[in-house]
Amino acid sequence: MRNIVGALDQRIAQKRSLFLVIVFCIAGVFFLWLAINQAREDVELLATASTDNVQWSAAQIEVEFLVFENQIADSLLSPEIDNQPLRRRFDILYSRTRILRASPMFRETRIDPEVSESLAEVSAFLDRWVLVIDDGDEAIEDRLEQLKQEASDLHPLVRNISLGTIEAFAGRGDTTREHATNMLVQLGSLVSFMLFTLISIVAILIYMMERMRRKNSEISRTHNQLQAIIATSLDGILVADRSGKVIDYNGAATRIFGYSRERAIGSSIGELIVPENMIEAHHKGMERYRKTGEKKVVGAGPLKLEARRKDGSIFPTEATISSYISDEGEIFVSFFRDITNQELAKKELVEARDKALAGEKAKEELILVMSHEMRTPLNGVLGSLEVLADTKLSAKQKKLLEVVDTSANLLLSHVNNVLEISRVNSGRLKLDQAPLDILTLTSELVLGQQARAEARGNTLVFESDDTMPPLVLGDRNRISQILLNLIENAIKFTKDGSIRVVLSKASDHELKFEIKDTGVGIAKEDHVKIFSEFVTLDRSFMREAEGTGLGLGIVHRLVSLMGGELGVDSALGKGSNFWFTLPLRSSSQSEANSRAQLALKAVEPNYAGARVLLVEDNQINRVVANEMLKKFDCDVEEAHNGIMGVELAETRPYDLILMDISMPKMAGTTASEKIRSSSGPNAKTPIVALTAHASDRDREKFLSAGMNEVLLKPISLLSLEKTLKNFLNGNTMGQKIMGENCVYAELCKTLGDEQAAVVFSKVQAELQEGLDALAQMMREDASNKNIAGLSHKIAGSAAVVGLNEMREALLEIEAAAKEKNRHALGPLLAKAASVFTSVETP
Amino acid sequence: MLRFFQFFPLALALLFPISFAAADELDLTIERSDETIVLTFDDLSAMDAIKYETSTIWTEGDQTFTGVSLKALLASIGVEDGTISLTALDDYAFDIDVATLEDDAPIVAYLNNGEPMSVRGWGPFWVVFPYDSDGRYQTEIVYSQSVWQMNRIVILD
Repeated sequence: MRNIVGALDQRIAQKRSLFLVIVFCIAGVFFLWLAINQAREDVELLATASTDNVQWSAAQIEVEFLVFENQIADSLLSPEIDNQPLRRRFDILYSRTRILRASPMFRETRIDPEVSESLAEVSAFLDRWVLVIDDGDEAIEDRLEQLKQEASDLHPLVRNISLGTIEAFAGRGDTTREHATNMLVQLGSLVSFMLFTLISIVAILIYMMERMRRKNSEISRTHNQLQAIIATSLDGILVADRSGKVIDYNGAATRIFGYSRERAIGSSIGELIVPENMIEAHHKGMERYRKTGEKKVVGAGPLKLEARRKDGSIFPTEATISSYISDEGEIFVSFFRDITNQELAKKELVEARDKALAGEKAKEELILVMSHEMRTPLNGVLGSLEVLADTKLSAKQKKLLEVVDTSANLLLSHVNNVLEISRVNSGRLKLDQAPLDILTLTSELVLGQQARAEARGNTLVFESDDTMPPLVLGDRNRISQILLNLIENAIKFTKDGSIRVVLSKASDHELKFEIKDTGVGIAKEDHVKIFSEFVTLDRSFMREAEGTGLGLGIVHRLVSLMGGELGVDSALGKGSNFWFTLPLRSSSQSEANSRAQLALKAVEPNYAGARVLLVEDNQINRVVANEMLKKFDCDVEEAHNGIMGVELAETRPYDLILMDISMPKMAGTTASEKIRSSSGPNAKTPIVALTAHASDRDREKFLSAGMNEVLLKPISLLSLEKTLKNFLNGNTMGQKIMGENCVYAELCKTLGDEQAAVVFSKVQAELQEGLDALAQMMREDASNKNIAGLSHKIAGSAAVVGLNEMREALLEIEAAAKEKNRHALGPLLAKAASVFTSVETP
Repeated sequence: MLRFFQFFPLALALLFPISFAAADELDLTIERSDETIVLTFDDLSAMDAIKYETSTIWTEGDQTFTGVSLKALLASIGVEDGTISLTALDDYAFDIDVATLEDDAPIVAYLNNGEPMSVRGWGPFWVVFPYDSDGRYQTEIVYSQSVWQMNRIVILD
């Protein structure tokens, strides 16, 4: 496209330069004409004489004067002769003088003061004697002597005149010559200039011819190049004119479309390569373009077009069409690439990808289902084991129990690992960011593993310093996982050695964990390998340590997810130092709150007599859960499926409902919805979901179904206790608040327990203030609008932390105030106050 | 035919080959090898007159001259080639090749501004050219040919 524009520009430039040359020529000719004219004038000037022979004229006056004097002498000598000759001479002298006095050619002479004075004297003399001369012979004869005398006196003056004239005209000749010389020089220059111009023109012409010759050779070279390009192009090139008739067609086009060159040239594109079902559209498009010049396809970039081969088959092409303006009109150039193979390949790839994705999905589902299937019996095993552990056992039984417990736990951890890996891999892991006390967490973990370490003769210690921030934000569970994994590995691969867990600050916002052991060590070659999945370096004889090898893989992924680094310093036989850093932000919480949390933990709650409805279809799970609940002295009732669960919930009130999710006939979520929407006694009872797997999406599903919490299977005593604590704390009032308090639970989830507690106490304070203010307002008989406004405001705050009863009471006050029902305000305020006093801090 | 009448006085003069001894020096005397012709002011003014309006380098301002074509005058006495000498009262003389004479220029002027010319006024006759009309009358030769106070033409062979 650029070349076309360039060509146009060139033509314009050429035209412009041509125009300039013409203008220059015309100007030159004009100036030439002026110069010639001037020369002609000069020549003309020289050709004419502006003066007669001036010096001769001036000299002649002397001669004539002398002749006149002679005549006077003659007349004096011979008085008898005629006076006519005298008169003649006088006249001649007179006329000569007249010329000298009046003629323009003596102007310069007359400028000379001496000359003009002399001339004046002579004229005066002549004028004096004119009358006498004309008078008659006697007059003359009488005065001859006087005449002679006066004439003689005039002599020098006459000489002056002639000399003065010579002087005045002395330079004249030179000037004229100079002028002539100048003129010749000018003419010479003119001729030279013309010659020069002529030569220049010839030179320019030669240069232009040379340029044209070069241009032509360049054009032909380009043309040949273009021909070669078109011929060797892999893409089919079709060139058509405005009416769609093919005017050029290359070899590749023959290969792609099947038409020979002879066949193609001259035919219309539509008839050759447009598929039959598109011919009409094609013609319409061409028509529209011819009429309106609208370009839809031309210059629009590569298009996918279906085209037809000679044998009639339709195939996909990738085409580009552009156009350019030639002297004969617009020409279309199109490139066609046969992309049949590409399309096929693409389709295959897409299919393969879809298959792979489906495979991936299927794999994940399999893993999830599998893990669920595996966890369920495990749940049973572990739960039963726990219960069994509390029964009376012989020493041998105790030992066997230990073995079973260990194995079952190990199995569980493997299943969990697999699950975790798959979750991490699928990127569905979301990290918690909650405030946690890293020191306590780590030290507790270390404590927990003490027994295991000692069992292999190892010492296990935890070391740290004062620089640890009290609280950091992090995912408690995941960090625990990492630490446990590494500590367990250290224990596994160390015998009768020492293991040190060191926690330090790597930088202002990075913590470094090091697990140093004096175990077998890891060869340098294996340092990278160990972090990949399913690798254990246990192909040695000492098959003491067992594991799926998934641990370090997960650890690696988790550390990366948290933005940290994981590494190992180790050498075979020299022990290992597994370290990782985590960027942890300090939590802004105060110590007091964390202490409070810890303090809370220390309280021993009592759940005796709490009525719990257990909805679980699996018998094993049911038994286990039942036993556990019995441990807490709860009053348990069982439902074997969702329908039963709903029925039971309709009949009598419970303090807590444990609802399994995956049940036949009616799923736990449906049952919950039914219970929540019913007007039965348990519409507001806390419902806890029991499930083996809960992604965040699942959690949302449960919560929106009306459930309050999720309890992961296999249930442990600890997790069950926590649930009970959450939902069965204190007396029924508190229960009710927490029970109907999905909102508060949500708040806890959003802000974390500590923050939520802070908000709650703030709201409490606000409510207190608000109630006092309302009382004041009512005493002072404030406006209804103000009372309504305030109660509305604090009702909103109450709603935030889920104090719904409080909210309702306050809204009643607002409504009464709006209706101007002042009598009702007092009692309503009292009611709200009593509700407030029964609010318990969660 | 008319020509014959115009040159009648000339013809008369020719009948008398001997020139009058009292030929006025203010008449135009034409001398040939074998004869002398005398033409007076009246003779000339009877002939075809040509009038010039021109300035000259010897006078001030525009002048009119009325006279007879020199060429015609010479032709009327049969002189159409050769050389003539124009002579003036002050003995100034200049030769002219008859062939260079034009039909209209010069003229033998006998009137200047409508008046006959006194000797003081460069009379009796002045051979003048129409100087202003063309550059070719502004050459030194022409100026030299412009004989004033002319009274004699000598036909040389």
